[in-house]
Amino acid sequence: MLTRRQLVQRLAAAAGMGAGATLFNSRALAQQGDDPRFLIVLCASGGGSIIDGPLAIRASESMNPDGINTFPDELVTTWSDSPFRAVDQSAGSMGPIPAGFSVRPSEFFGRRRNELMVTTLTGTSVNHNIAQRRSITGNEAWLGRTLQEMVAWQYGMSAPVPNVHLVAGMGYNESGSDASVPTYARRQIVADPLLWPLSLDGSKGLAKGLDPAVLAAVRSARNDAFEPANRFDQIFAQSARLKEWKELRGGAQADIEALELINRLMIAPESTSFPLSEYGLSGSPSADAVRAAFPDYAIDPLHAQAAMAFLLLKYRVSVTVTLGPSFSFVYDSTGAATNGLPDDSVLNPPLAFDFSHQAHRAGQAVVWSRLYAVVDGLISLLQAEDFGDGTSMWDRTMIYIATEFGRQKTRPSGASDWGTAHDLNNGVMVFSPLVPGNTLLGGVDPDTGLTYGFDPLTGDPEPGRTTAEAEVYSGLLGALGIDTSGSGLPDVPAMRKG
Amino acid sequence: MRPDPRFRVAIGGVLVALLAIGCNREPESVSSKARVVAKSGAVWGRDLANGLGLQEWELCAELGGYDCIGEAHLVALGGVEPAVLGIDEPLPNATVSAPIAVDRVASSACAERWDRDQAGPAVIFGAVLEKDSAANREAVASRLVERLLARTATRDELRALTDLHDAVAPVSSSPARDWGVGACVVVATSTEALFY
Amino acid sequence: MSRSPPPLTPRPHRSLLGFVGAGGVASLLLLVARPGVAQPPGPATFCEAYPDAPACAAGEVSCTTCHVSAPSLNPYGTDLQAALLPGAARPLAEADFTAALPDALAAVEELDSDGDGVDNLTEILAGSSPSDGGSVPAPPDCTDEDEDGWELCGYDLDYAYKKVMLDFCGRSPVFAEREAFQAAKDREALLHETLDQCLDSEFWRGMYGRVWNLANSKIGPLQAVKSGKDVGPIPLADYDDDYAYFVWTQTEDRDVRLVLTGDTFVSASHVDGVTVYEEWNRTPNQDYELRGYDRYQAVQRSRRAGLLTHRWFLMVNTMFTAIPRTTAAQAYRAFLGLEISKLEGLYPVEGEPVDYDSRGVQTDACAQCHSTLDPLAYPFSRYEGIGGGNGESYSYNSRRLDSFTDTDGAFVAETPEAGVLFGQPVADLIEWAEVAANSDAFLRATVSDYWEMLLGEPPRATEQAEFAELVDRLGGEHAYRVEPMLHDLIDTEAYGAP
Repeated sequence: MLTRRQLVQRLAAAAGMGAGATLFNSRALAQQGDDPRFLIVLCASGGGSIIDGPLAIRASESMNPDGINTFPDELVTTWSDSPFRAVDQSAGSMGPIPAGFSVRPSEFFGRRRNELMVTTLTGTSVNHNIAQRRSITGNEAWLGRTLQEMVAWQYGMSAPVPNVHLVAGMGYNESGSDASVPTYARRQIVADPLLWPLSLDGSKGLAKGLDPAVLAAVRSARNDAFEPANRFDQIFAQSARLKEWKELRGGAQADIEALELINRLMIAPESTSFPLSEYGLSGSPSADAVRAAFPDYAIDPLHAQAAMAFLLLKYRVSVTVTLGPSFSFVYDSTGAATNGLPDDSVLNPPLAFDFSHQAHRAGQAVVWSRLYAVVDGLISLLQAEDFGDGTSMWDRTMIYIATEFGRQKTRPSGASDWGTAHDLNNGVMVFSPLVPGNTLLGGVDPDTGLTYGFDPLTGDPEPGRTTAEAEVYSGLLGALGIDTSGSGLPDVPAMRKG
Repeated sequence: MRPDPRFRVAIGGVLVALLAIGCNREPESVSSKARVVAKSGAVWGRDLANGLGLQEWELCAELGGYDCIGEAHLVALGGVEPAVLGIDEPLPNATVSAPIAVDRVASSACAERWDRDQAGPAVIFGAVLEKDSAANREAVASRLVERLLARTATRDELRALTDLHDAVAPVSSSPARDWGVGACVVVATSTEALFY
Repeated sequence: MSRSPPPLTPRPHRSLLGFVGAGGVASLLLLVARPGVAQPPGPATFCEAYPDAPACAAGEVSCTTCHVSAPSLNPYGTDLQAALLPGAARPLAEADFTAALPDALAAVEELDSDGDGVDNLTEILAGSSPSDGGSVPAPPDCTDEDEDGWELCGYDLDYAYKKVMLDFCGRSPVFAEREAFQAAKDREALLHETLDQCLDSEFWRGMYGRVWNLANSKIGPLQAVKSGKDVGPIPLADYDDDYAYFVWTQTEDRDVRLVLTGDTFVSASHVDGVTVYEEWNRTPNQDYELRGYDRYQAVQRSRRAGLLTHRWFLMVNTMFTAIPRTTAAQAYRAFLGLEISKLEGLYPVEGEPVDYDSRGVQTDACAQCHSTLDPLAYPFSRYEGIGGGNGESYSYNSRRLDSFTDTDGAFVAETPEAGVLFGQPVADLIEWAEVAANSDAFLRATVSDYWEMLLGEPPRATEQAEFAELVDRLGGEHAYRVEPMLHDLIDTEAYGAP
C-alpha cells in the first residue's frame, strides 16, 4: 500500500503541466505540513448580497435611493477609519414568515473590521450549483482544482482528513476536475457533525464489539490473508474503487484511531440522547468551549458544523473545512410568540439567502447575521488556540465567505422589502490576518448598486473594471501561500499582506 | 523392509498434491475491465442480516439509539438523503470513515449472532460453542463463507480464517468468542461482501 | 423603449466565438481559460478522423475526450491545442478550427499525453483514454485458465445473476439460490425471469426505491417547503406527486416519453407493504376540493406536459421569475442530459438573446449560452411559479408576463410563448415537450440514467457500441418502454462480463 509520500512521488513522475514545484515534492510538502495555513470556506448559500453587508449604500449617497437597494442613513453605521458599513435593522416579520427579527451587525463589524478584506467580484453564472462551484474553482481557472483541494494538497499531507466538508449537496462541495490532485486532498463529506465521531473508531463506543488489539488482528487477517486468497479480490484487484477502499483502510484509518477522535471530536454532552459514559466515551476536552461559542449546536446544523470545524483544525485533523447553511428551514420554537412565531426564532429561512426571492431585506439580514456569529465564534476560538510556537491558530487561518452570486440591485420604489432575482455582480468577504485588513478592493456605484473592480497589482479601485472569479481565486491562493507557479493564474498581490 | 514401489508413487502423488495446495498457486486471470460497484449500506446490511439470521434493525445501533446504517452512518455507507441534506446520489468516492463504520456494524452484528447462538439455537457458531477446536473452527469458517458470501470457501480462505485464532489468542481474554466474531467480521467486511 | 423582436430563426451549429465581434473577445477570454476554445463541431470532426474508434460508435465523442470540464483542457486536449494552428490569432473562427483539427489530431497521434506508456493513436483505436494515465488498452487476447467458476473472457451468467439480484431485488442470492441457478437447464431464461420478478420488487419500483431515487436530481426535493405527507414548515408543493409520476412512467409497459408529454397525474400509496401507483385526472378545481390549496395541481389538462408542468417543478424552478431560464435549464439537464453551463447542447438562435427582461444577457460573455437558453425558456414563461404573475400559482396563464412589467420592464410582456429546441421552432411548451421526448437526446439520457445507476459510470469507449444499440432499441422495437431496455442491458458484455 502506498504512503502519501510515495503517492506524491509517483504523481511527480507522471505530472506534466500546470503544477507548482512544491506540490510534487514530498519533502517540501512535509515541511509545509509543519507550517500550515488553514482555510475555512463559509458558504453564503443561496446568494449573499455584499451591498446588504459591509458595502451597504446609504440613501443620501445615491441619486436613485428609492429605486436601488439603499438603506435609510440612520440605520447604517460607518467608521471614519474604515470603508465598511453595517446595517442594524429589525422588522415584525420576514416576508410571509410571521417571525420578527432584529440584527445588530455593527457590533460584529466594530470588533472584526480590521481583520476583514472585501473583494468585489462579478461572477459568470446565476445558477446556484454552478455559481457555488465557480466560487471555489475560479471558474475552473486552474484545471478545475478547488481552493480546498489546493490547501489540503500543500499543507495537509500529515493530516488524517485534510479536507472536510460539513455541508453537502452543493456546488461548494464538488470535487475538482483534476485527476492529479492526490486522493488525500480530496473532499470528505461529513453529513452529521454530532454523530460523525462515532464512525472514527472501530471498537470504542460499541456495546458489543472487539477490543482494539483483537480488531487489529482481525483487520490484518482480512487485509493480508483472506482477501489475497479471495478470488473476487484477485479478479478485480485493479479496480479503482477497490484500490481506493484499501487505501482508506491503511494509514489514514490508523491515524484517526490513534488520535482518539471518537472522543476528541464529540461535541454533544452526556445526555439521554448521548449516553456517552454508558458506552465508554467521554466527549471532547474542548466541548464546553465550542458549545459556548455555538450554543445552538443541537438544533442548528450550522452551529454544529462550526463547532466541528474548530475541533478539526485544533486537533490537526484537517487543514481546510467547508461549512454553511443548507436550504432547510431552521427555527427555534422556544420563546414567546408575538406574531405567529417567536421573534428571532428563524435561524435559517427556507433556501437560506435565496429566501430573498420572497423577502430580500429580511432574508439577507437574518442569514448574514447568522454567518457573522459563526465567524465571530470561530475567530475567538482560534485566537485562543496556541499553534504551538507562541502564535495563535488564527494567525495562520483564513475564513473565506463564498457569496455564490449577488442579488438584483433594483427595488420597487421605496419598498421596505421585496423579492430579488439573482445577479452576477457582487463581492466576497475574507477574514484573516493573511490579507490586508480593513480593506476594500474595488468599490460600489451608489447610483446603480453595482460593484466595480480594482487593479490587482496595486489594489487601487478601477471603476469600469470588474473582478473575475479567476482573480479572486488566485488572490486567495496567494494569500494562503499556495505554490501556483506554472498555473497561468493572474497574479493578485493586492489580496495578500506584505 | 523396503517400501513397496507402488506406495512410493502413491506417496509422491500425495506429496505433489499437498504441495500444490500448500504453495498457494497464483491464478493468472483477472478482469480487464476492473470495474466494481459498491453495495449501498442498506443492501450490504440486508445481506449481512440474511447471512447472520438477524433482522436488519438488529445489526447495530450507535449509543443504543441511532441505527448504524439507516441513520448514524447513512451517507458514509452509500445512502442518500435528498430532501434535507441535498445528497441526491451515493457519494462517488468512499469516505475515510466508511471502512471504520463497516467494521463497527459488522463487529456489532457478529457479536449479536454469537450471543444468540450461545443462548441457542445456534445458527453459525454452534460447533465452536460446543468445542473450540481447530476442526470446529474450520467448520464455522466454512459456514460463515457459505452464509455471508453464498458459496463454498476455498482451502486458502479457510486457512486464513482459522489462522486468525493464532493471532487473536495472545490478545484476547475470550479467544473462542473473539475468534468467532473476528472471523465473521473478516468475511462480512471483505471486498467480496462489500462490492460486486 | 419598444422593440420588435426578430423572428426566431434558428441557425446551425456555430463557433462559440464566430459571431462575436472584436469587442467581445476580451470578455470571452476571461470566461474561457485558454484561447482556441473547442467548438461544437469538435466531437464530430474527431470521429470523421477516427471512424473506427470505439468511442465513435455513436458518431460523436464526448466533450471529456479533450476537456476536463469545458472549457478547461485535459492533457490530450492541451497537446491538441498546441498543435492546432500554432501562431494563429485566437479565437479561431469555426471554419478555421474545423479545417485545421484533422491535421492537429494527426500531429499528436504519436505523443503519449497521459504518460501511461501508450501513444495517443493506439489508445484512441483501442478504446482507452488518451488523457487518463489509469486507462490503458486491454490485452488483445483474453486468457482465463483458472477453472474457478468465473468466466473472465466473456459473459458470465453466474456473475450476471448475482448482479441482477443485487441491482434489482436489493440482496445477494443465498447459497441455495446460486446452486439452483448454476444447475438450471436454461440459465439465460432464468436470469431474465429473475429480472422480471425483481422489477416488481419494492426495492426497485417502490416508494424510496431505486427508480424513485433516480429522480432525486431531476425533482430536487426540499423538505422545508413540502406539502402533503411529512409536511414542511412552509408548505408550497408536494414533490411526492412528481416522484410517483416519474416511477409510473418508468415501469411496466408504459411509454417513458410520458414523463414529458403526459397529461395526467399519479399518486403513490402503500397497501399491505406494496406501493400502488394510481393514475388520476382531476381538474384543478376537483383536485383543490380534494387535496386543498397546498397540494392541488393547477394546470388544466390541455396545457400539461408531464413533469414539466407539475406543481413542484414549477415552484422550485420558476419561483418568481418572468422568463424561467432555470426551469428550462433544469428540464434540459434532467431529461435531455444536456448541461448548458458546460457548453453542452448549444444551438444558438439568430438574433437571440433579445433580453426581454433586461437581465444584461446580451453581453458577449453571456450570449454564448443565452442565445440557446433564452429561446429554450420562452415556452415555460406562461406557467406561473410561486408568484409574481397575475394568475393562480402553478397554473397556465397566457398573460402572465403582463404582471412583470413593473419589476422587469415593459418589454418583458412581449416575450413570445414560442421558443426553439434543438434548432427547431416550437409553438409552446406542449410542442417543446413533444420535440424533446422524441429526440435522440431523450433516448440517450434515459438509457444513461440506468446505465450509470447499474454500472457506476458512463459507458467507456469500448462500450459505446453496446450503449448505442440500447438507445436504438429503446426508441425502436421496445417502443420507449424501459423494462425491455433493461432486459437488453443485462445482456450486454458491459453488464455481464466480469
